[in-house]
Amino acid sequence: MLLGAGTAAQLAGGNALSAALAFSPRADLAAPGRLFNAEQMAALRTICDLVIPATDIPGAADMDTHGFIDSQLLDVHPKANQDRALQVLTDLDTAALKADGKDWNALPADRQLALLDALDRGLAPFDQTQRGDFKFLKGLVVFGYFTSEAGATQALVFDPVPGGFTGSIPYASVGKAWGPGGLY
Amino acid sequence: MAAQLNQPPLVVESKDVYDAVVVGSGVSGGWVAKELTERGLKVLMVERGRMVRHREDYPGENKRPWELDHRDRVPLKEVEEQHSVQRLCYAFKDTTKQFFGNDRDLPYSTEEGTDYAWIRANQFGGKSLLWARQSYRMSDHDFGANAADGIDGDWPIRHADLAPWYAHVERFAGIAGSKENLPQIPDSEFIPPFEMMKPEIAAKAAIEAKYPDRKVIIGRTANLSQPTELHIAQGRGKCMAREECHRGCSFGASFSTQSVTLPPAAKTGNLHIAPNSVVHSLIYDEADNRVRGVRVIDNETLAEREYLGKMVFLCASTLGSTQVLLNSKSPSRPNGIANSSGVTGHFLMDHNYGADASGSLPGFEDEYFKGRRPTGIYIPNFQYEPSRYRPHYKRGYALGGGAYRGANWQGGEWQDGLGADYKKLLGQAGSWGLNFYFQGETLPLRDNQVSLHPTKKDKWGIPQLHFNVRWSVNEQRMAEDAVVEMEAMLRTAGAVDINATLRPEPPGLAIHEVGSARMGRDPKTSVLNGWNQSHDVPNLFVTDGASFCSTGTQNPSLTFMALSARAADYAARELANQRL
Repeated sequence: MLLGAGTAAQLAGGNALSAALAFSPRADLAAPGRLFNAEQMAALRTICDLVIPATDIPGAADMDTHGFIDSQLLDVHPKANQDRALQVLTDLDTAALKADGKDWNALPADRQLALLDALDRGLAPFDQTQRGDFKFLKGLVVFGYFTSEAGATQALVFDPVPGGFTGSIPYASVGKAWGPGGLY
Repeated sequence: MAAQLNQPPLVVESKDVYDAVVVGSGVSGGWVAKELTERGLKVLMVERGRMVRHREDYPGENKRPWELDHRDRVPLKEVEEQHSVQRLCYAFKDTTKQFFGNDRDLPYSTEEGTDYAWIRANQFGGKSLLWARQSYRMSDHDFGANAADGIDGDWPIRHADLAPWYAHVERFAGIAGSKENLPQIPDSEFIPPFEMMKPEIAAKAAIEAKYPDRKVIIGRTANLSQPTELHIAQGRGKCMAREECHRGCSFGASFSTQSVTLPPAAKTGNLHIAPNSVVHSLIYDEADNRVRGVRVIDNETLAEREYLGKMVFLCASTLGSTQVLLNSKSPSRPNGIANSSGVTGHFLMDHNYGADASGSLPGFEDEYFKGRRPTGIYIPNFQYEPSRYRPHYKRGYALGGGAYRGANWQGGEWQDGLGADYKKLLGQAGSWGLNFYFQGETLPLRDNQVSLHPTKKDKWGIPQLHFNVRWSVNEQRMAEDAVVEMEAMLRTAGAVDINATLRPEPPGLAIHEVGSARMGRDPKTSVLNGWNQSHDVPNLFVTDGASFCSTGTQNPSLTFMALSARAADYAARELANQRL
């Protein structure tokens, strides 16, 4: 053994995280964001919860994926993408008002799920453009969740220091996909 | 880990006359500094950027995705203001951006109708911190290609000249790879290869059965698959397969100046480093026809100073060294020092990466892997000599690639669905895929030129580089051939839903720029002789990619290493024999 496990762990831990720089779920998951106002954040939080709900492990809303999306859209994406995300919320409100006479946020959970499912599949009353906008937003939900701590370490198998590369192992021995590391 | 305690002294003002001034601290400069200091020479390494210390200055390393505000994406405002060119590099991330140049401070111009991507790594270690570590020897087919094709600019050396130096740098750096006995990429002195995955092994069997002229091998990489006692003694450890090479590898498993060449140079006590020192030009003594050192502008204060040496090694990257040569003017040398041939700046080359192909690979559902392998699979050039050329273009290409099995969440939005079952599905591994990307050789063309802009200067008062570089029809035809061949080989390997396409990239983006101060036997048509020594000025050496006569298809850094070590050994002997 040329490099002991203790040495490896020491090296891996040698560059400690500065917690102050980290995105962590906000204390108040219902607080307004920087791009989205309070109502829009509430709608986005519901979308996160419907796309990736809490199960035996936390879901997207628990990980403040809506807060992440707010920050990611504002800092990393061009305005056109921000507008696409906002358009999704408008589309859901418009559809909710027409079908149920209420805002999306005021709908009962089963109606929210039905409308969101129709949007995801491009079914009436939604068209393919609206579906495309939602797929963009849904992509942020999925990316945000599976790169969150619970997503990466519980919904996936996180292996930050694999210790070397092995070209063939049974998938069943892992049982889930590897979590994001390196150039994800 | 005693080596890391040997921190060489940092120099600002110095009246010393060093045995050698080495400009640049990347792959080439690191090797020159190591070899010269180990031979007892006093060396000053001049680096235009800041100091980056092994382990201490790798802020992106070990960051978990959720610990990063933007999950490793770089904020748009920052990209637009500071990294408009660097953003094009695949390795440009929030955790690696500190090793890329700030485009705001590094302007350059391009001839109308042309484009060029100049990727910069201006800090101690240079691009050795960012390279993809693929390491292949060039063969006699490459060194002889210009002569075989009747193109002016024969390499003055052959594989036999470089072989002991390839072996020397390979043993020290650690190149993981498999012995193949292939004429177009001579074997290195290897440490064990990284493993192929089962779908790759199957693809290899299928492709090699159908195409007797082609081999599918594991990519050769400067990562310690299994360190030798020598590597352990260097303070380096085994590759942990984290895929964090570009963030800085504290294990020292990935080759960089910091992990490999600096520690032994520092240990000699013969190395001084002058960081934040932008070389403006060489100091030239007309009477003696010798360089006396370098004129430097402070990176931060813009103060001017000089460093003196008995000889100067330019290892400032192909374009950096060329800029210094062109800007070192004197009344008798208006076109720059060491340029009596007039070829400095001409024959700039890169590799053409403008095509790729991918497909889904049915089956292998029970197969998985552990770790993130720091290399892929590789198909060496199968058009490596004139008898194997296609009729409508010269030279050939290598293909990189690999099998992959991603996770369903990647692109998971396109899978319709919501809720608990959807969540579970996204947490599963996806189907396998197989991909190839094109690495095409480019021809040395005189018209592909980098020059000093007549009026524009950078913040250090140095004339900006002006690029006039185009892909020729030879590169375009080659890329088109590669699209057809990649698709056919993916199909042969059993892939379906294949997407094979041209994906044109600007020259420069392969970051394999070479050739703008080439070697040669004839001082009338080349800048350097076969020892990377200026034909015109005996105590001036250029050992980076500027010295190349052709590109081959191989990633060039291993050849930078061998040329640098060989030139340093030669120069040390010539200095001792008082011929410089």
